[in-house]
Amino acid sequence: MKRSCISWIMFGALVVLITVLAVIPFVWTILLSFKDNSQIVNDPMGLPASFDFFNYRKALDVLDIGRMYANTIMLAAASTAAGVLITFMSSYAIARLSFRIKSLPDKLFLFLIIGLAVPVYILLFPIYRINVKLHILGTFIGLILPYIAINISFNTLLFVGFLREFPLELEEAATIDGCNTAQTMFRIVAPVMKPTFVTVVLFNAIYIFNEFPFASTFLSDSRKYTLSLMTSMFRGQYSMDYGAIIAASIMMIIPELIFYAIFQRRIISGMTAGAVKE
Amino acid sequence: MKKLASILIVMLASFALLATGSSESSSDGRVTITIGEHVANIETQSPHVAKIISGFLAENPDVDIQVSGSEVSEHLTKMRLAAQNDSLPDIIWLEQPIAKEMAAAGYLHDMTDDLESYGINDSLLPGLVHSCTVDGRDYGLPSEIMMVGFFYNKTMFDELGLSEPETFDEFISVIDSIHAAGITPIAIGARSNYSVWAFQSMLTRYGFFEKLPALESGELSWVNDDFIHFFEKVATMRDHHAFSTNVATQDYFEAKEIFLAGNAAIFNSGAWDIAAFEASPIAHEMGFFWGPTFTDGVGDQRIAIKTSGGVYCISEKAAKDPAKLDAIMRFFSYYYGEPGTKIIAEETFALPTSRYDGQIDESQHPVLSEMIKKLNDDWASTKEPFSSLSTNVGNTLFDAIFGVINGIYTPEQACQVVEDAMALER
Amino acid sequence: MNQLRCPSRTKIILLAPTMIMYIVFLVMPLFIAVRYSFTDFSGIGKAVFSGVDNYMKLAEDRLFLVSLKNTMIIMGLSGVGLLVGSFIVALVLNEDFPGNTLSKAMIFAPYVIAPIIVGLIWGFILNPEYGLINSVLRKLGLESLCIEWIGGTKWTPVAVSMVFFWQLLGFHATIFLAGIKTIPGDLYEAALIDGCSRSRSVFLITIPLLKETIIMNVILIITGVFKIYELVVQLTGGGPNHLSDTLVSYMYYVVFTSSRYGYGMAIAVFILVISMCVSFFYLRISRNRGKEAAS
Repeated sequence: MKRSCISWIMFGALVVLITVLAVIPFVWTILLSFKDNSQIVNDPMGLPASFDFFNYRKALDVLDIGRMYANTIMLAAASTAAGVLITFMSSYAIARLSFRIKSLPDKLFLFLIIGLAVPVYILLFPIYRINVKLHILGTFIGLILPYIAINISFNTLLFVGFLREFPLELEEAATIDGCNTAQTMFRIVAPVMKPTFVTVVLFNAIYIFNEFPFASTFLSDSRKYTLSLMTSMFRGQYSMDYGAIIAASIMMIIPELIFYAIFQRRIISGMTAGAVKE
Repeated sequence: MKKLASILIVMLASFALLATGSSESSSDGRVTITIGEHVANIETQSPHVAKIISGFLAENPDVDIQVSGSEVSEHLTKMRLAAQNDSLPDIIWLEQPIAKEMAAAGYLHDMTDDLESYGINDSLLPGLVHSCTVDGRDYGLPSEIMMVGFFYNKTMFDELGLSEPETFDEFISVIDSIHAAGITPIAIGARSNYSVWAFQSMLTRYGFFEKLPALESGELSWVNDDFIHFFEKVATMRDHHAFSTNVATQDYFEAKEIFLAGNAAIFNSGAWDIAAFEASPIAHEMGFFWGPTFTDGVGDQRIAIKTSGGVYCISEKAAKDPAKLDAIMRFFSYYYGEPGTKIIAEETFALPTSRYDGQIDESQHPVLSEMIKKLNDDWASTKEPFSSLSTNVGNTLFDAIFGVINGIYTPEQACQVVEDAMALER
Repeated sequence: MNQLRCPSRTKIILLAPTMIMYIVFLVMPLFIAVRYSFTDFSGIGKAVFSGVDNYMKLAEDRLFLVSLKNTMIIMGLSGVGLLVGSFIVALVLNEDFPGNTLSKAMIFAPYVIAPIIVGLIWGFILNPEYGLINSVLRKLGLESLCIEWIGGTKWTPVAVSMVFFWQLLGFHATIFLAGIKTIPGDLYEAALIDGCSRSRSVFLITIPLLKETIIMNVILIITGVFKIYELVVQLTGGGPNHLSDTLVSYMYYVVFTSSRYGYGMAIAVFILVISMCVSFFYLRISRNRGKEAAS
């Protein structure tokens, strides 16, 4: 597509402006990670004296970061995989299948998105009790199950929404060709919906990566701790190690951003694969 | 569709397998004690506890200790939930208001007789015996000394020709001189609403404990002349620019860094931060005073909070097992006896809650020795108001004090806010 | 619109796992919480039934009303801002230009930064004394524009809206982007051949086809604003004296700091109901309008 020189410049300026605004605090965080606590509080604007990685070393000394990564990735992978699978199935039924009661899909949809309005802190106490009853308190499974449940509303909103934006013709053709429901869902619809899947997986995984209230309340064995709990390691009753907290957070953010960048690309490649759509 | 159903079944089954994780260990004569601590990282944040545990385990091979810890607010939430679901650890660190609520609800072990029979009361500092009681029975052992007041920068005071103030008028003139020199007089952060310790001591000098029974029964309102006078003093400090203009957005940790960097002259804190003070560049320039006395105060003015902070409690469930209770009491005997006390004083250089006869090297540990001197001075000891109130009223009191510091409340409004909270409970 | 037929056994298999998980770990806990909102439970010990007492108290609780007002201000400011802003950002990021992936990641970055860090950094930016914004304003000689962003009683909700906007821009833009990517490119080419300018095709093609995506984002923004918690806690701690609290941060204070579990649950139920009502109301009007347009 052709553009005039001026509109290119304006466009470039807009991109740079948005990115810079988003990025200033981030750059600043990185600068802060090279300062000690006294400098962070007393001279936040100044440049660090030197680019010494002492905060990072301190964070790595205290944290069993490998294990924390492994725990978090395991939790995120298991909950996301299971959650995306089951909500895709239910959303497909809600958006596509005919029910005897005509309004049932809409009611199910509304019922399933109520969860969006629930502040998770209400759930802490009751889920703790349910976990005790099911004997899964303090285990990974005691986190995975609530994580799946928490993401159902968000996933349903996205899946059902995007499915509704989608034309039906493909699936009708597939049904005529003799595909059963499972085949239509996973062979015909899922590949075309790749951008949606990528978006949902991305947000589910990041939510679980950063999830704090459940992890901090339901886990008590430090060997099971997840990455989001690491800032607590530097927060005592009367002390706060800002430098180490910032360094630890950066070590947590960077993999997430790489993960995001890779996945973002797939939204685009997913689209070229889905070009069949008319 | 069948394939899908079988995938789901396999997934559910594997979840169920994962779920049956740990089971309780068998009884081969070994006892395992679980401890719920209020820091996430015992080794760095409570080094004395870590050292005492390893010392105890070396002498008691029949006992195992498992510590789990979280940051203090997370920890307290967890313990509330655990109590409600009968899954408290054997030894639990608690703030006193919550400990008392739990004791009243029957979740904690009444350790009065055990403390006597294991001789632990004899090794505690005299002021810290019976530090957490409900109806005269003991439910907690002190985990730290709550000894609060104002630390100050001696060099700064010398340069301005100031001396340690005692009366409120002296205090205000000190604040004026510091402010006139362009320095923040008192570093304090309203975001940590609990960091009002020295102000609590000031409240005790307006007869808080004498009034408490009447406040509880409703005979006396929080809106009374003495308490209004107390809040007026806080307002006077505010009006004399005692606090920085951004006090509302600061927390305790920021205030501490500002004081330690020499950007504020006075800092409201307590004995728990001795180690941090001694590691700072101004370790040798630090003084401590108990806070101002008042001409319109009530009762003895030379009183100071020298009491117990958070406490260690025993869960009722653990106490039902005699072998376990014995192991727990042996652990406490070690903690509060000579070995534990030595570790606290000589290895981690903190103030022990039990009797200690050794000598502290003053040049090496200037703040610690200063605090020991103050602990044993002639000011009478009193308790912390917060520990005698319910969690809600206690927090409202904090909010009221900071409300006056922030300029949100007038003294009368501040009294009324606490009165309203207390009225809910009468 | 739902037309595909299949045996009911299939429907049950498709729906059951989600429904079971949802009911056990979300609906049931919700009911337990609602039940406690009718008691004076403190979080420890026994709960005594107290009827609708807690709900009656809400109307008299000054701090609760302040938190409700703050939440509404944030909704007004950041709600509209986010919807328009993230749509524009998504349109921009949809274009092919060098450094596209990098700027996407950077715009998205705020969403993954731990809240405690967000509060810390923005505290330094917004601090009325030495914060970045006011320092720059003073340097430029615009002293009169300096505002007590945080810590005061007036501007904090505005500051929270700003940070909320910054934090969620990438999130909503990503959802818009996923929606835009499902629009077939040949539609635009056809429009271009018909002599339709690029900006017009945004209004004629993109917006109408993104109806469902817009609905999603609006619902996520509404429910998201009602759930704002960490941001406020880290930025101001609700201070001074709870005057910058939002509904959830006030609820958290009541439940976990003050130990008034029953009353806190009443606040929670209020949040849930109001957030649901606003969302459903929006869904209803947007769907009706859609039907009218279709007929």
